Amino acid sequence: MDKDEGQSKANIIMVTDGPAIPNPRERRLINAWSIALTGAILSLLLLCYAGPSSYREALLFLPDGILLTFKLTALAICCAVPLGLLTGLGRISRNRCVNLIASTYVEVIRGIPLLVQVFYIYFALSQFLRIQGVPAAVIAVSICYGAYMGEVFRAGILAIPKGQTEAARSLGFNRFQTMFYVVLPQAWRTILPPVGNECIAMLKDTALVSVIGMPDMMQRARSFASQSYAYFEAYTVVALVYLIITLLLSKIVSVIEARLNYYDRRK
Amino acid sequence: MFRRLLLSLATVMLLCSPAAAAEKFVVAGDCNFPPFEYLNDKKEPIGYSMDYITEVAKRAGFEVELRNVAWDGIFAGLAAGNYDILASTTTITPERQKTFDFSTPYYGLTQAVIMPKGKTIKSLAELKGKTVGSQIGITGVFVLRKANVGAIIREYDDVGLAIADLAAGRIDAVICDDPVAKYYANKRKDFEGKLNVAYQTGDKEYVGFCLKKGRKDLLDRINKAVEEIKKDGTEAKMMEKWMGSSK
Amino acid sequence: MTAESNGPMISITNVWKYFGQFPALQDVSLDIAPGERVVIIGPSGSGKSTLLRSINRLEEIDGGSITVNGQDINDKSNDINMLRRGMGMVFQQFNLFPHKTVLENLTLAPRKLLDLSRTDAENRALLLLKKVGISDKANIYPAMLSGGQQQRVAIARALAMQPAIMLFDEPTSALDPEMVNEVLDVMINLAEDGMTMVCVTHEMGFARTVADRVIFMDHGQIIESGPPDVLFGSPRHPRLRQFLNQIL
Repeated sequence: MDKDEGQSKANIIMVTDGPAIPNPRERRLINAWSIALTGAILSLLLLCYAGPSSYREALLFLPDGILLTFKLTALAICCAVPLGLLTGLGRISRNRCVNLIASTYVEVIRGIPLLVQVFYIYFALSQFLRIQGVPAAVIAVSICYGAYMGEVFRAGILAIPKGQTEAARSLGFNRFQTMFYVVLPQAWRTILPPVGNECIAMLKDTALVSVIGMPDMMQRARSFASQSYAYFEAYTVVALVYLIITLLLSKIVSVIEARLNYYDRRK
Repeated sequence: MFRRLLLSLATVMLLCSPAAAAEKFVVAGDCNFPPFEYLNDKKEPIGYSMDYITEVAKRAGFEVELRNVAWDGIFAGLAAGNYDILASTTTITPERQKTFDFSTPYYGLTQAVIMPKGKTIKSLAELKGKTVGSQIGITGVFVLRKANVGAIIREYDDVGLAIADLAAGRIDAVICDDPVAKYYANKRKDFEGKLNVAYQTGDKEYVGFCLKKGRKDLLDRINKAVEEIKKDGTEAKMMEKWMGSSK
Repeated sequence: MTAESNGPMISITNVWKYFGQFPALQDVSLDIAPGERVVIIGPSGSGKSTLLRSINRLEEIDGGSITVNGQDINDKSNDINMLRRGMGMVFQQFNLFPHKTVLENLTLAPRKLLDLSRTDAENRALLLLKKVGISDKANIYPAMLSGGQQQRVAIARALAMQPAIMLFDEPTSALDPEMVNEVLDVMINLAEDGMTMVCVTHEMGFARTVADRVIFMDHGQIIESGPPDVLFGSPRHPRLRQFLNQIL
């Protein structure tokens, strides 16, 4: 107890169901990410231009769905990230009441499938509260991912050595200032890749909102398949489009991650 | 060890052999579509289509296993051979006929628009700018899309969810087969006094049992039975039983 | 924080501290006068760091009281954050903010807590960097500095709040031997300026040159204290003699 604990805590954060974020230091041209991306793009182009016309028709059926998927994801990120931050802070709060609220929220939400939450907010609550489709979808996804991200934030914050907090407190910063000027700016670095992963997983999970009649990318594909009976074509195209989008997004996350590493470079 | 392996192999072959005791076909229906096909309290598929295909089977001399299947992808499952016959109020359309075979029609219906109680329209054109719900891939969606009246179409996994959304006031109307519309508007207690059928299209559609292409003799046997059922008045009795009180 | 006329600047009275069942401090009392330079020595686990960290409440004590300039630091009605501004602290592991440049490490607290303008804070910081001899490193990140340089920046960072007291918690223990002196030199300069200093260290040479008083602690108690020449020259207590034999 006499000595500072130092930097011994490893910066390990849980594995999520998002795609693997490409390693920013990966410089080789041929790697899993580039193979997957070129493969997906080439397959899509090939199928749409050289394959049967139903591939092209399926692709042309999607754009407004892609837009809605992006819109839902963007809105949900805007809600889920702050919610996750609050939850993470609540989970490490020394205030017993705050801590209990945050922990209970995480426990409850993590135990309920997102699909059930979507149905619940849209159909079950409609008896008392009429929430329109887009807000309902955003709320359901945000509440769900807020809980997941809360854990990521918590782990990221706890990974910052205690000495950083002590140094800030010894200068006269209060808890809040210490968190926002010293701990969080550093925690971002460990938090960003898993949060990025969660955001990408969120984009994929918005496919679930097609059950409340939201014409997102997935529902457009289902619609197309149901009227053309070209199931293989429709779902192949939508899978490739999802894949291309998530691969591009994971690249963006990795670029941002590399930028956040600026202060680690030595001489 | 080796003997046990042989034995289990033999069992598997026996199970897979087509010449099992009685001839049996799997019938699939999306049981969210009252009064045609839905589940009773014991989770068994019931309804007009189910009664009908059971009667057909009896007369054509085969057994049926009724199976509840999600509508979205129901045709893909048929194409993949997951089941033999669709008894799921499938309207006979030229597009569907390109890929599948249909039996002689066993019901004729029109498309109906359900709206909140008191609202009626005189044509689909009045749905311009309105949000209209339906079920993914049912003919109601196709009819409305083809009419191109500028309605916003919201597709749900089953028509019941669309009706629930209509009752919650988040959409303006629902379009679906008229017996279904009448069932929800007139027969269901939870929507009593909330909904009514606001419009019915004039174009008659016919529904038939749907089979994968290339099963000509099974189709012939089904068609023969359907003809009999029509002739001897059994069809009329079944219609009265399932649709009578909601007309 | 200005030193009040005659009373002690830091007054530690009958302090107890437990880690679980283990008594880290047992009934410790110690007064430190303004401008006094106190060095605390003792074997590891003797409670010397705990005592130091109790002064700015990084450790909460379980009994007794600690006042700084007459203000009880454990009294909830006193704002501990205000009191801490008057006490700079230097850690064994430096604890520089790795995401900030050297200059930003020095300006962060004055700008956010003292509302200094950017220019004022930077001028103050540059002056301090000159004082600790690394003005040429103002715009690089701590990871690029040697341990000795980092510790000098850490001292400058603490000084940027213009504290009346400086607390040093084994400031040279994590350094390579060849870097120890550059840090000690900075501390000696600081002592010559008349800063009130409390320093936990194993550097006996430093204690001899700088300390007004040396405190020897063992098992959470102050065993012996006195001017360095007396304490090192004629140690009375056998445990102190044993300790000095081991390290000298």
